[in-house]
Amino acid sequence: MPLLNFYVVLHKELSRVALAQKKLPLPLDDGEQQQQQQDAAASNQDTDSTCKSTPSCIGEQTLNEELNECVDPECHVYFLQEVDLSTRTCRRVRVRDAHISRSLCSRY
Amino acid sequence: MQWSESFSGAEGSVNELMVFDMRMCGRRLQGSASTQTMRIATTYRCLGLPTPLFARLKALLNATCSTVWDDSLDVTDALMCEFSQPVASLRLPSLSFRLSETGLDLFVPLESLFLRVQDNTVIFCIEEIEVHRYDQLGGVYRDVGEYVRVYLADRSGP
Repeated sequence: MPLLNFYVVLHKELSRVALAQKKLPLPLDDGEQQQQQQDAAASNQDTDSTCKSTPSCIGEQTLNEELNECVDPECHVYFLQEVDLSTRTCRRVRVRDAHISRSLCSRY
Repeated sequence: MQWSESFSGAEGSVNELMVFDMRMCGRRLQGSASTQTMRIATTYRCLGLPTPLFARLKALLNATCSTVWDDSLDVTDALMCEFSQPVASLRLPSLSFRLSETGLDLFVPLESLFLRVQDNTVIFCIEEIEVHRYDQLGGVYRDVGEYVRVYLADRSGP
């Protein structure tokens, strides 16, 4: 199904494959074709509502490019640190929670 | 017409080639890797993408997507996406790639990969190839997940 978009040539002796696009209009020269294709690519990038935009990460979040989403900092790996959900940065665990933690630690 | 680089795969077969700079929505599908091996197969029907590329493509679409196994369509792990509007009213992006470093972009419009459309939902002829799934080719087990897989035969419908 994907290759239905192309004319395909398999050159067995040279171990090479050639593809020609079926649907793009034939341009006058390669430069024009490249410009048309760049326009098409730019159009995909800028105007398609079906493309998800890159999220704006805040605080100490990092962008996971593979999944196109922001990832919170791993505050839990630091002692008594947690993610502040409003700023997405690490903060000290609140005193009351820390008190509970200490109580639990002393109990066990 | 765009020619691929001369490629000597594991078997020196003509059905393998390198594809460069796979993109959708103006962004790369391949992460840091600049090339991907494509295998032109005769036994599969849809575009097969290794799990990382499949996940990336899914993440670039403004839709809720999952994989679906549909016996009636003869596909496994196909991409199913639900959009916020009827699919017929949407303008979907194209996948693009090159066959050489300096070649021109070639395009596969997602519209050309529809298997089934119903209202806001579409099943694409795009299958996930798990990187660690092994396939028996020529009597030898090998990791098939590294290949982008396309089907050569002229078979357009279920």
